[in-house]
Amino acid sequence: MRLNIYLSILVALASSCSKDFLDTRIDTSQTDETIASNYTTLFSFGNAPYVYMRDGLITLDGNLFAAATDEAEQTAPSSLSMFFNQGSWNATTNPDNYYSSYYAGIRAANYFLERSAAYKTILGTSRDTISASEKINYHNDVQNIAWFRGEAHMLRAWYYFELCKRYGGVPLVTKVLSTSDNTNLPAAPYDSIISFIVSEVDTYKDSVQLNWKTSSFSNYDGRFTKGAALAVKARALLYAASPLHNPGGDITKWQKAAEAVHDVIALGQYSLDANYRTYFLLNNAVNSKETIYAIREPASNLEETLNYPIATSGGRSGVTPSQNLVADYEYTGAPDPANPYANRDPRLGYSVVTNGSTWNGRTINIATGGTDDMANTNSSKTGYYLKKFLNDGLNLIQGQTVVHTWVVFRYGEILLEYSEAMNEAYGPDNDNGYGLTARAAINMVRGRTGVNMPAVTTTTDFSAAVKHERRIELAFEDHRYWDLIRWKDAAVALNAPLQGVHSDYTVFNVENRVFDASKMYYYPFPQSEISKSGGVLKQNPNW
Amino acid sequence: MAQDSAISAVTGADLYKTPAANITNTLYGRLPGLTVLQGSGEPGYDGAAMITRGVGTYDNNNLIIYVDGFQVTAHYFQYLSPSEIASISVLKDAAALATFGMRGANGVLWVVTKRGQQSKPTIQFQVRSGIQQAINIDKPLGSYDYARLYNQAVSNDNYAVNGHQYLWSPKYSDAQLAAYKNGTGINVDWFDEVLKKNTPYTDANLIFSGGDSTAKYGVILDYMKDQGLYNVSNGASTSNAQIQRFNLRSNLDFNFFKIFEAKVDLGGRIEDRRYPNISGPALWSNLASYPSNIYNVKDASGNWSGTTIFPNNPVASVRALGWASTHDRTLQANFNLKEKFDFITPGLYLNEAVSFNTWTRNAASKAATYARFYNGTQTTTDKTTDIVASGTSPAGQYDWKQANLTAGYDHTFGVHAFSAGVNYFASNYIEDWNGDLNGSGYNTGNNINHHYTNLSGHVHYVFDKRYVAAFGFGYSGSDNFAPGHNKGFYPAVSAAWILSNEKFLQQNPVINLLKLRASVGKTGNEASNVGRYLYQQYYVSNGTFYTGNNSFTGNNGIAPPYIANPRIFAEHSVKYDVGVDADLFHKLNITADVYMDKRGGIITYDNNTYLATLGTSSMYRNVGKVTNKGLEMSVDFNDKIGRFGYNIGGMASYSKNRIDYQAEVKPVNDFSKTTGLAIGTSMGLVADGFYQMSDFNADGTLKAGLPVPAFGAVQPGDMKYKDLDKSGYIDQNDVTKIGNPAYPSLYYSFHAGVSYAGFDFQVFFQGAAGGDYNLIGSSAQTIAFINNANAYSIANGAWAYYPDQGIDTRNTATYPRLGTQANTNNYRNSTFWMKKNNFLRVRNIELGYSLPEIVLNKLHLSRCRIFVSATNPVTWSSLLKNYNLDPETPSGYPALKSYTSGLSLSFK
Repeated sequence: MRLNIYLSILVALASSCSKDFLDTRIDTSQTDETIASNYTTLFSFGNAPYVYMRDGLITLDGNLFAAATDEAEQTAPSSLSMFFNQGSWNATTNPDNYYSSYYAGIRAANYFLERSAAYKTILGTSRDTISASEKINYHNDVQNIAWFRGEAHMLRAWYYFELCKRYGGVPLVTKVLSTSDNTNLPAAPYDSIISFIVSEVDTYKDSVQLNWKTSSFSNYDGRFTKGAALAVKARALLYAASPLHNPGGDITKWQKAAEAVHDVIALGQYSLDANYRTYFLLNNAVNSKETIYAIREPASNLEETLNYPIATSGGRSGVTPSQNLVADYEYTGAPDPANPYANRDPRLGYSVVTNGSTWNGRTINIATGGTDDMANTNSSKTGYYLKKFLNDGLNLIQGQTVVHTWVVFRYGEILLEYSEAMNEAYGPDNDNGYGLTARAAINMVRGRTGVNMPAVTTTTDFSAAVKHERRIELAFEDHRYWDLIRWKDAAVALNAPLQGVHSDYTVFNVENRVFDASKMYYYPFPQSEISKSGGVLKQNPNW
Repeated sequence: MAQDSAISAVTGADLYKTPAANITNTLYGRLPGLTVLQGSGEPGYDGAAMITRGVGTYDNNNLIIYVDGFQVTAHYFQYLSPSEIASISVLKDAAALATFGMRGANGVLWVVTKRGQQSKPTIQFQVRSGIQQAINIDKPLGSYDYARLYNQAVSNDNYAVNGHQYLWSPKYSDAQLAAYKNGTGINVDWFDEVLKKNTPYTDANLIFSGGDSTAKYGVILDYMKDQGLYNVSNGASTSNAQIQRFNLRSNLDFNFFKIFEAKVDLGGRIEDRRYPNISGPALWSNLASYPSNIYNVKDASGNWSGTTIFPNNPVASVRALGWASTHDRTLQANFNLKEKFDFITPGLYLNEAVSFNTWTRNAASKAATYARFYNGTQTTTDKTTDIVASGTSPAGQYDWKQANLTAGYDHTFGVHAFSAGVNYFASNYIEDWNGDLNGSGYNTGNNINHHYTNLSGHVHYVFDKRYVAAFGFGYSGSDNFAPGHNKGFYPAVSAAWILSNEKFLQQNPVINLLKLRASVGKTGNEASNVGRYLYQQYYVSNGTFYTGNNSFTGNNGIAPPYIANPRIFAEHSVKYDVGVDADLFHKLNITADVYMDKRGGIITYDNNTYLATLGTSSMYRNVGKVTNKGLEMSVDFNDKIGRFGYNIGGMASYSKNRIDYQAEVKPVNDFSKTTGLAIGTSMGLVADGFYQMSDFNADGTLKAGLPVPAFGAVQPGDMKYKDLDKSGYIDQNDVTKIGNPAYPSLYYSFHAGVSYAGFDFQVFFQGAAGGDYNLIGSSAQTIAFINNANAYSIANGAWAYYPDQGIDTRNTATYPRLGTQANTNNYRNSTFWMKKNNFLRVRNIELGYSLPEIVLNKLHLSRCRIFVSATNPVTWSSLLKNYNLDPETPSGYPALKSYTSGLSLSFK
């Protein structure tokens, strides 16, 4: 019938128009095609693994992780650090759940390494590589990508270190997993993760720049260097040698750690900064010879807004140091009953705002009726305010901002690591041919210009002296929690009540802290991971 | 043909009875199966939410709207005038929706505009005008009560500092309280200062229609002006909220050469909106939360008041910031040509139709700022500036071309009535504004194309006017999916049995029509809230890291945001429907339907398959499943006894849905699962009263044996929750279902009317039940003091224990202890804050009088009717009674009630 003819005309019309008609996509974001045709995107992939590095200034409640340890107390009435303080954190609610972000960083590194395997060819597509000036550009790009590739290995090793520091053994992924691969992997043992990190650093440590500041690409400073790579290996081996992961006390692990730390020192690139107070402010750290690797923050006043005393306009008190920490600063002379903060280790004055000191343009007075009366809402609960990392005198009402830096590795910490490892491996005064003994290293740190603390003379209590020095020197730098965990000292230190002082300097308990030693030495794997895994990934014990 | 499908319809005349600026506000309870939930009353932004047969999917639930056979955007529909509308139907079941293919799953609103009739020319003029008021404004406590309760709050905050005891440490002294009480203290009612009680509404229309066998015309001119509640005049530098709308529609029908029938429809309009230069939601949020005692509207020297904590003086926000306006122009132009090929075969026809629909919006404003003063000194860095005009800037446009080609055959041979048709539909929509159709995922900006094709057909057969069988299909293609995977086939079959035409019922005096019908079929939903082009792998910035020493340079990395799924496709819906239509005594109409909608392939983020080791967000897959069941019933009775006529009727729809699969990660406890519950079920903790002083030790810790709340430190008067999994901690693992979703499960309406000797009276009620409201949703009105907010009468029931001040509500408290600090324990989702939200409103009452014939003849009129009406005059709601919250617009610009009077004339 004619109906059929009309129908077939319609269908023909329909099918002929609709093939291209239904393809309307115009890509305004990058796709595989656009990436393949433009070699500069290779650099974006090289940058991608860096993005997951964590800025320790904004880790917990947008503030320091110190509030979860015996170093400090978070002032805000409701905060995430409460979960750690009360011991109520668990697999479902973990304020420090960065698990999938670390794996995203690992994937970004794996992806870049796979994608840039043929980098010399990729960099040569669609560009002039013949003329003189372009040839130099091409050569620079090739060299730059080669460095990025080495850095990707280092970043991957670092993310695995951060994972195993928290969770113990974790699944080891060294290639990009696609949706058709099995992602339900069991956790590799802790020791195999550590050996992976060590082998990555050993293989690729010379593929990265030695020191950007002295190279012809100083504007790239902020990327990994050989010193940073060796520092990762050193810290990994030190943690692996510590009592938590080395229950048998195997001394060869300490020796390996000592050797690795020595490699960093032997580079000869670093020396201690002359000013402990200003080192942590503005961009001083990135210009200092002490810094091995630091994360840069563009201009803001977030840290000051959160941590200036509530009595300062715009401040919120935030993370406030505890009496537990302050009590541990040594005396350099006779204690003054009127002012317990006189004649103390200068680093106390550089790190903590104490009662009677000058801060924010006034004298801090926590007594009843004083400017910082502890009875005011949101005043410090401990009687102290944070000073380290904070630039004084920022006008928060007018929104004045400055840059900040978070130091990940610095020479002072390396020296303390060296001191600890050498002491455990060979004793305080045996340099094992490295030219620096444990005692000499710790005294270098204590002898910093502006600190000038007397040398450590004890031999029997040397490891206690090292632990003490780490607590003082590295206060608030996100080492305390991990040190207590790896020394297995957390059961005592993190269960002790957090203390503060009144204006008459009497000590009182601010709050009780809880640390369940049967399980909290390791983080629980996120509950969603355990649920999805169906038994392949086993939850850490007792969670 | 509608014999076998579930379709409900309402006429434009019925819709005209409700005076409303936005046509969606005339649809409450008018169409069984269409649930209409009131939105705000703000002029120009007062659209109501419309859903068909309940919520069927947790993805995009929007129905599609057709006007005169072509699809239009919701925004186009909302500002049509009821005077342009002949009828609106809602197509609900598979039989009616099959031919809509991949766009039909959420139901279709089918609008037909008025056309000319073959008659002498008629002119109809209608005008009405009236005042509108807010249905309810929830006002906070005055300064005295605010200060009195604030003293309690501040004292409560110091519990821990005072050694874990409640010591009275008030902020406001007795002298200050006395000043508030006797009127000498600052006590500003911000709502009174900013709003006025009554605001006018006017609309008018003029309709010309007529025609003969060759040409018919219908021309409709319409004007509407709706003003807002702000107590501001419309002038050079200030403006009330306002919308003015000018519509012109011209529908022409032509017959020529005996075989051609042509239609030309032009519907265009201009919408002008003006507002004070502050966003509506921001203004209403400030009105609700600024306390009454912060400052007077102007300080002693006549400057606008403001402080750093409360910088946006509500009165200054409407009077001193200037105004903003938008100007919309819309045109829908349709051309339809039908060729009747009766000379080839009787009943054969061909139809070609095209539609061009465009909309463009421009914005202009005149902006100013004002300096804030407090006690004579300036408090912020804002300065008073003169008003500055900004140039007109484009704010969005779209361009929509649609074409419809149909070949059909319609004939009856003896007892066999046969109709069939094949239709090809193509749609090309280009927009600059990600507004009405689904958002574009990673393709945003200008010139976004949406293309859609649909080849559909139907075959409809009636045997002896008794047995009906029909088959329909749609074969649709959408550009949202990958080429090669973007077409779907959606069939439907239906059948009906018209019992009233059977021999045993044909002469029955009672049963005039009795029909049983059933249908089953599949439709699709190509619009997803997740985004389009999910098949394409994109790479986007994943963050920045900085390099450099003296100046930091940002370096961006890129990574895939999620893994693309090359086989992503539209969700589908299999609909089952069984219904009965009956017409008894020529007076009683009954329709009832029972239906089930099984959705599958809902685009869902696949949480479950990949672990974190994948290192990136996983893909979206078509794995979601939802089942939605319900029933609808409507009854209408009308009768006339002499000159007295009366009608009564009602409708009810009930629906309940259940998520069958959504790739949810298994929670620790089964009672925390949301799969198996309705979409949007409220989840939270189970409240167990308040902590009392006896629950605590002297040092402020909870007594042993009581579960410890993980959310924060608690003190007497705080909310206590149940530890459902007995872990010793009250935490996220104790979350469970705490209430029904916010949308109602039962939606009903009923009406009654009488007419006698020219008078007519009609009353229309509409109600909803089954939804629950979470009081925390209007936090400004339910959470007192926190974040410098105000306090409402709900805070009068707070737990407090200050025996020296004569305050002891420990056993009678209905609200947790007050506090001024952020509190994550008391104000979380829990059974304590979930309240039933059942309500019934009188939507419309109208009394009219039509002049008798004798008078009409003298005036050369064929009809003259005057009427008065009230819209939303009464509301019964537990939320309104107990918490002073309107059940549909608890916060923000309130819904309106209105009192209007009008006149309707037809000339002859």
